[in-house]
Order: sequence, then structure tokens, then C-alpha cells
Amino acid sequence: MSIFSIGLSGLNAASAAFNTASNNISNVYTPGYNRQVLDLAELPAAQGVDVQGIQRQFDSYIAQQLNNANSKTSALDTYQTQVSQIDNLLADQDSGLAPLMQKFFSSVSDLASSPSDPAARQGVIGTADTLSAQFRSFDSYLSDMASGLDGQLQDEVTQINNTAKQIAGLNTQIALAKAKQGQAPNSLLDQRDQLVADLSKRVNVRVSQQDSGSYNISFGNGQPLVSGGKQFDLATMPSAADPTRTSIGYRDAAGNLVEMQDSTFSGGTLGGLLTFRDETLNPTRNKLGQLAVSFAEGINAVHSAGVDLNGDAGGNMFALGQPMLYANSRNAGTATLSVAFDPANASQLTASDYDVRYDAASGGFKITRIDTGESTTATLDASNQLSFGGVKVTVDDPTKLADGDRFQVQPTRIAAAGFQNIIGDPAKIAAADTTGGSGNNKNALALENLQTQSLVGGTASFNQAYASLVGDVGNRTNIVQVNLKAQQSLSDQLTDVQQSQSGVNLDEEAANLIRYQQYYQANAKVIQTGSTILDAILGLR
Amino acid sequence: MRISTQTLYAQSMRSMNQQQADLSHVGQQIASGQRVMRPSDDPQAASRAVQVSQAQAITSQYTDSRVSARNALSMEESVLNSVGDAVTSAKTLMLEAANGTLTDADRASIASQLQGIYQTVIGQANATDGNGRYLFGGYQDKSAPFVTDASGNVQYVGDTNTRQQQIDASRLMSVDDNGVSVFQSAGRIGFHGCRGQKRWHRQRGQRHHQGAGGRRHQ
Repeated sequence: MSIFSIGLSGLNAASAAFNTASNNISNVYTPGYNRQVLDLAELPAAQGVDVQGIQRQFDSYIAQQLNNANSKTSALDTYQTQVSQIDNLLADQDSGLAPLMQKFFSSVSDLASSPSDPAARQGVIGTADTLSAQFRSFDSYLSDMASGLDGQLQDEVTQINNTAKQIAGLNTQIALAKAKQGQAPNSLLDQRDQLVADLSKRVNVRVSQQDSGSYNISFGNGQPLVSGGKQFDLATMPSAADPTRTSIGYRDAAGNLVEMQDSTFSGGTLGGLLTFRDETLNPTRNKLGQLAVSFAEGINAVHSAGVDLNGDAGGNMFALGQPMLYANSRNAGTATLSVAFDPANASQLTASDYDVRYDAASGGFKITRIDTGESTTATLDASNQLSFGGVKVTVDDPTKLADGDRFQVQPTRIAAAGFQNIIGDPAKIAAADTTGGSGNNKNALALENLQTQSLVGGTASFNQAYASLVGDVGNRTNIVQVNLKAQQSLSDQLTDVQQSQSGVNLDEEAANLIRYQQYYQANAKVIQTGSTILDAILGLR
Repeated sequence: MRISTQTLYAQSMRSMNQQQADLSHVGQQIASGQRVMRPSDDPQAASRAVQVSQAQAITSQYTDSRVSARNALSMEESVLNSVGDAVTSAKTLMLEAANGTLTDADRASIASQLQGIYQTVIGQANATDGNGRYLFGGYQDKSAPFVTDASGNVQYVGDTNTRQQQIDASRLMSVDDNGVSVFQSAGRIGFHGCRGQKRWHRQRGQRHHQGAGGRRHQ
């Protein structure tokens, strides 16, 4: 009888092998599918073959490496998509700010040649309007990007939560199956690994496998996202330091939403979005604002010193978006702070935001420049004011300050948004100096001269500042593109390695099919032969 | 290395995509005629391009200033030329009047001619450019700089300023003269024979010099 059972075990093995090959073939293009191989073993005492199981070809080290690489690639890819939009915005040299600033000064020069000519005066108003409109539209493009980015953060967070929830669910199923059958179905494992790969493209995470077979997934700072069958939610929330900025919050076990540092998320789409915002988007808006402030304050100072066609002192020519100050929502004190430009120190204005922290012990403030991390200490002057970086901060009542109270000052973030020419009457342009006279062009000459003076940060002319903005965005875009290219090829390489292990080769499977067919036929022959032998024995008379 | 069927296709696709992206980049360069289409193509070049365009713009701005300075000065020159002619004819008439053989009627005729020349010069001193701006009033270019008061005396009501224009990065050029320096620097208003004429010629010489090279600068 054993010849039948040997043959049968072979037939079973052959049909299992056949199924495995067919399954491999049908899943050749299924994302996350890992090639399966039949695990055969010899039965003791030459009783045939035993199908031990079907192994999936999966190397968790390579998978982890690939996920990490993909996480970085996806961050750079997102960054690149975003930064290219600013790059494209600056690409058109004819509609940029530089030619419009040039046109403004050229119209001022025309005014200097014929100061009483209404057409020349109207020309200055026209170019001032066009220039300020371009500043505003430039800024609104960037602020639209910022609000679009907030929406994307929200989407990413939702997707991350969904994926994490599915992984937690699979963790439970896999642990259950493993407890019941000693091994979990390959399809569940494949699904979970695919979800981890998807998650890695959205955010950088660390994965560790437990003895139970569960995956624990945590962020760079150690906070768990998935722990066994439990999943923790992320949510978007306004930052404590700056309510206009969307931060990522973490819902902890007690149900509290805790703000996470942007730096926790360096990889994935989420990391790419946050890095882009902190590294390029906000600094570019600040720089544009800095240019707007320097331009407006420079022109206003000279214009106010002149006399218009009616013999009145010239007023401001441009209005600006004012600097912003936000009290940290965790402050214990109740003092109200306000901030304003400090035209006397206009050259100190930077494109950075500032963190101002009250220290009760010394009674002073620690002022940290956010872009460089440089910090200085300062104390309030007699009128309860702090002066730094071209702005003046006023504290209404210093006794209401509590130790550690923090305030964020954004001197130039929205300056360009409020940049506007406020002179509509051509006669109100102060082309004359205090001597007056309709043919007096002294002040127009002084205005014209501003174009070559270093008024931006005390070191650059308007045009140089704009050129550096263009160069800066270009450089960042360029660096991101180069990094992306390098990272992409690393990802590709690792994908090839992962595929060489886990991917299906159709030719190989085709050969297997032939092999297994013969295997099946041979085993059938064994049974047939056994039957023939039995018949022969039974036929003995 | 084992090659999976997916890898086989993926590799070809990657390389194809890359080549097509490169092709499209070159295509864009050809279409735009620019090597640097976006700042990221060459950040340094893009930044330089902004600065070069500024240099171009400021140069053409100074060119415009010079053209307008030249126009203003040639307008003044043509007025001064007619004033010069008037002075010459006045001088001739004076010499003629010195002839003792003239009758009263002749002298009256000369007086009337001189009166006409006087009015002409006053008119020239109150000359305007095409847009009603008075040339010789200093900064006061809205009203006539020379007015005749009730007793018939001509008074200068302009000021003593001279308008200047920025004609290059470091040079300011005067583009007009006020009534005082042109018509009153020889003393009282009126004609002083050879002395006044010589002085005016000298001024005209200076003017040419200025127009060519720009004498006054800051």
C-alpha cells in the first residue's frame, strides 16, 4: 500500500507546487506581492514527500532599507513639486519684480526731468500701482501655496491615520492566526508589509517586529503610532507659538492632543511638506516682505521730506502689512505685547522671525533669531519697549509677564500682502524739496537715487535683494532636484534588490510549470505502476 | 542577480522616462531660446541676469535723462540765440541813432524799433517750452518770471534755482538757467551795448561746453 501513499504524497506536492507557480504568475504585477516558494521535506522512513508550507520570499532588512529610502525619496519629491512652483513663478523675468522696480525708478527719473508735468506725475503713480500690485500678487501666490499646504497636511494626516488603523487591524489578525495555526497566511503578511511601505512614503517611521508577529511602529522621537492592535491618531492643530501655522498634533493615550515638532517628520510626503514650508516657503515670504518694507520705508522717508505741487509736505507713498506678534498659547502671564516697524533702525530689518522669551530672574528677554538660532538678551527701556531687528516691541504692563512667557515676532511675513501705493492725486507727489516750486525736482532726484542705495538689510540695493531672492530659490530648487535624483537612484537600486528576492520572473515560473507537470505525471505513473503491480499479484493463480 | 519581470519593465521605463525628460528640457530650451528658463537651471546665472537687466534698465534711464537734458538745453539755446540776435540789432540801431544827421522822425522810428526789440527780449525771457513751462523762472515755472509792474518796470519774480538732472551714476547736470543768471547778471535789466553782449557770448560758450561734457557735477 505504501507505494500508493508515496505516489499520492507526490501528487499532492506536485499540485501544491503547481498552485504556487500559478499564484506567482497571476500576482506578478500585484503591488506588495512577495514570490512564494513551496517548502518540501522528505517523510521519514521513505514514505514520500511532505508539503511543509509555502514560504514567501521576504527579507525584512531589505524591506526596511527600501522603506527608509522611499521615505526620503518621497519627501524630496514632494519638496521638489512644491519648490518648483516658486521656481516657475520667478522664471518669467519680464513679469518679475525687477523690471517693475526699474520702471518705477525710470518714471521717477522722468518726473525729475519735468517735475510739473502732470503726465510724468501720473506715470509715477501708474508704476507705483503696478509695482505694489505685483508685490501683492507675488505674496498672494505664496500665501495660497501656504494654505494649500495646510490642506495637504490635513489629507496626509488622514491617510496616515487610515493606514495605521489598517496595520493595527492586521496586527490583530496576524497574531490570532499565528496563535491558531502557528503561521499567518502569506496574504495578510504581504498586505501589512505593503501598508508599511505605503506609510513610509507618507511619513518616516521605525518598525520593530514583536515575538507575537505584531509590528510596532513609532516616530523618530519614539512616540508610537501603532502598538500591536492599538493605533494612535495624528491631527492637525494650530501651533502654540504661531496660531496661523498648522502643526501636527499627537493624540496620546490620555486623549490629549500634543503638538509635535516639525523636525520629528523628516521623511515622507508629510516631512517634505513641513520641510518645504519651514525651509523655503516662509523664508521666501519673509524675504519678499523684507524687500517690500525696505522699499516702502526708503521711499516714504524721502518722499515725506519733500513738498508736493500744492506746497504741502509729502506724506507716505506706500502702505505696508504690519509686523505680527503672537503670544504663545501656553503662556502663564497675561501681558499684551504689540510690535511696530522701527524706521530709525530700518537697516537692521531681517527676513527672519524671532522668538522672544521672558526671563523673570534677570527681568530681561532672550531674543532668538529663528533662521540662524542666534540669540541676544535685552531689557525693556523706560517706555517698556524692546528694539531689535528693525522692529520695536512694546509691553503694555511688564508686571503681567510670567517667567518663560514666549512670543513670536514675524516682522515681514505679511508686509508684502499689504504693500500698496496710497497716493492717487498726481499733485500729491513730492517732487520738490522744502524750497518748493513747481519746477523743483530736488526730491525726485533724491528718490531716483534710492535705487542704487543699500537699503535692504543695510547691505543690498532693492534689485540686489531681489536678485538674491531669485538666486536663493533657484539654489534651493536645484539642490532639491540633485538630491532627489541621487535618492531616487538609491530607491531604484534597492527596489531592484528587493525585486530580485521577492519579485516574480515569468520565465522562471513557466519553466516551473513544465517541471511540476512532469513531476505530477511521474507521480501519477508511480500510482499507475503500483496498481499494475497489484493487478499482477492479484492475477497470480 | 535574479531579475524579476517587473524589474525588467521598470528599468526600461525608468530609462525611457529619463530620456524623455531630458528631451523635453532641450525642447523647452529651443522653444524659449534660453538656456536658463527657471532660476533652478542655473541659480547664479539667473541672479546675474536680474542684475544685468538692472544695469541695462538704469543705463537706458540715464540715456532718457540725457535726451531730455539735451532737449531742454537746445530749447534754451534757441531762445538765447534769438535774444542774441535782438541784442545785435539793438546795437546796430544804437550806432545808427548816434548819427547826428538823423531827423527827429528817424530817431522816433529807431526808438520804436528799439521798443519792439525790448518787447521781443521780454517775450523771450518769458519763453515757455511746448507745455507752458517757463524756461527762465528757476523752480517757479508755472508763471511768467518777468512781469511789468504798474510803473512799467520789469521785475523778476522767479527764483535763483537751477534744475539739475541725474545723467549718469555720479553726475548731476544743470538743465536750465534762471532769469537772474541769464538776464540780470550784467546789472539792471536792459541793454548795455558791447559789454552785455560779450558777457552773453561768454555764457553761451559755457553752455556749449556744458552741453558737451557736463561741467557741473556733484
